[in-house]
Amino acid sequence: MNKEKMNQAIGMLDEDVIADALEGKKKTAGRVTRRKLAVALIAATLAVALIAGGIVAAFSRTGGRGPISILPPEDATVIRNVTTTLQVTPGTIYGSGNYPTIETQFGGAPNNEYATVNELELDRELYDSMVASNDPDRVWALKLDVSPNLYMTEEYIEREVAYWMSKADAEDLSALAEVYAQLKQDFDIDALYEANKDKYELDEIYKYFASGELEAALLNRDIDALMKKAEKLWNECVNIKNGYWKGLAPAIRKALNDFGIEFVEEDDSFIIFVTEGELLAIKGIGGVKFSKATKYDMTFAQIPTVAEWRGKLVSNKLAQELAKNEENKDVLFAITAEPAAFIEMIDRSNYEASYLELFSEAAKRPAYRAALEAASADPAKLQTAIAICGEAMVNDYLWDGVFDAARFDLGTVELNKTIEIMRSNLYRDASEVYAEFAPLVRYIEITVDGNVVFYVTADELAALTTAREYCFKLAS
Amino acid sequence: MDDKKIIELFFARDERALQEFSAKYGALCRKITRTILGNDLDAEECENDTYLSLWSSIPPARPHRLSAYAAKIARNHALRRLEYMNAQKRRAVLLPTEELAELIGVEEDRSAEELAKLISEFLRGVSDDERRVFVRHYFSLEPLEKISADEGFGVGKIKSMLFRMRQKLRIYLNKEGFQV
Repeated sequence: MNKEKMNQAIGMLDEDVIADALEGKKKTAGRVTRRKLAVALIAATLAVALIAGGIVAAFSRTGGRGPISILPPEDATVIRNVTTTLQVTPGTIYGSGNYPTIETQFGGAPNNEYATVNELELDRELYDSMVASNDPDRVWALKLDVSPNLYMTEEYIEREVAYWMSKADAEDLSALAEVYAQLKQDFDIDALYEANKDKYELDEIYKYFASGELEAALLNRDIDALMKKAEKLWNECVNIKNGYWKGLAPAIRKALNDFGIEFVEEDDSFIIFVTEGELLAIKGIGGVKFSKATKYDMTFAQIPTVAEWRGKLVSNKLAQELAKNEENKDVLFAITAEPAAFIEMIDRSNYEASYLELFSEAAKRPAYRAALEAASADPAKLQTAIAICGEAMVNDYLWDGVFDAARFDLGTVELNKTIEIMRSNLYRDASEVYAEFAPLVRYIEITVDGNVVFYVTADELAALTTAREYCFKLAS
Repeated sequence: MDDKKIIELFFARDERALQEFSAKYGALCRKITRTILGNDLDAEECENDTYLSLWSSIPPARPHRLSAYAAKIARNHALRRLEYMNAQKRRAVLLPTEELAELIGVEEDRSAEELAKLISEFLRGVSDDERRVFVRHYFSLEPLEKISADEGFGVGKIKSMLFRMRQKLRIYLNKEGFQV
């Protein structure tokens, strides 16, 4: 009966829906094209977003949609995933992660690959004071959901531009021209410029829009001209980052105050220390993270060592405080648990294709193959191996364009299915705890590196009395 | 010739309407019927049936999108013929839409038309790629491998896209009051 009805219904779909799909010319030819389109779009949209001062919301993972929302959801996903995470360690930073966030942290392994602290314009005095006053392995830091494009290094930009130059074709440019036209339609560039020119250094970016050079390059499918403009645009975006942050810092302070978190030091820097116990996030094998979908979306993260993390308790005090605030009523908070669930997804039919494809690619690479082989010999190492490969592959797709970002976007999954999978897996203890959360969870998101993100409201979060046990179980 | 002029020819009962239609959308109809039936002979008959149905229904119908209007007719003819063919061979017709049927509860008593409206609305909210894949698989009943080859996505990705859309559609239908 249902089969017949559904088949009839599909046969009765609205004509515009069918026609657009049947007649619609595919604008992008595949995953590489989608990615390079995303790269190109970043240049154009970033400039608009900067002018509009809405980039934080635009790239916010859980927050509202900003200027980027004019993009189709799938392309927006690509752009979000093209962003990277920057982690700060004493004297160095390195890029990692799949989160569409800037994650500025102290602690962790040094890595000189992408930039130095100075290039990030960090406040050195503040940084030193933070290190001096804290155990380097156990430092609280603020993680902000903003566009890391502001922090992308010259090297990164050059690589992206070079990649795009090598791949761009007329089809892409045609699609870009459409998006550009939409940008112009959606934003009054002149008005935005006038409203923000005193706050940010926008002259150079404005010129590109106002002069029509960028548009002409797009419409004429002049790749060389376009690339020159894109490269210049990228650099300008980087150049104005300081001005942008100066404008943003007060908003961050206000948002932090809304959280009831005291500043260690008043400074325009975006790195803000908070005291232990006020933050709830633990990143590692498993843990809890709270992300508030405010206008300036932010997440607090603690990065303890694994040994230190074991047995560490997570207080839900902040959650209770958050729940008291009426403004938080409709805010969803994320609780994440890392790779335990990820492992279980690999062999399950619904995710089989994506994950097996991911690891099949990983296995081709010597650096990851060793980890996978170790895992196959010792199941106890599987989790670590997968975490290593998952993160490494995410990085690789960023730099090498190997993967289509969409392949990592596994999206929202059905709660019951996830619970069912977890219950049937090796991590029985963890799954039992997840099951306790189940009635409260609004939806679940699975990220590429194995995070399972449960979204609950502040009220529900405050009601979670099992957080301590939950963390204990995962840690044991 | 643009669609409006072809439709005007139908309204004028001018047989050039069918010639123009065939020139513009004949391949589309053949592709649909051929995909569903798997052989040229039956597909061609269904294509002719489609032309006849167009001639009979326009006027009074004035399709908003002629291609989609014809595609729906072609699909229906092909499915009816497939059902007939399989009934003779005493075997069941297995269609991709059965995956979608699982999204609604057995007690659901609302009409297929209402369901179609909701699914159409849902499809307007997904990306172009997703909508195209969805329509090709569930409306045109194209196999995953064919869609994969045409779209430049791996079969795994196509499966993943369809799976995610089914999950989203289930949630959407549930929100709209459908039993799921």
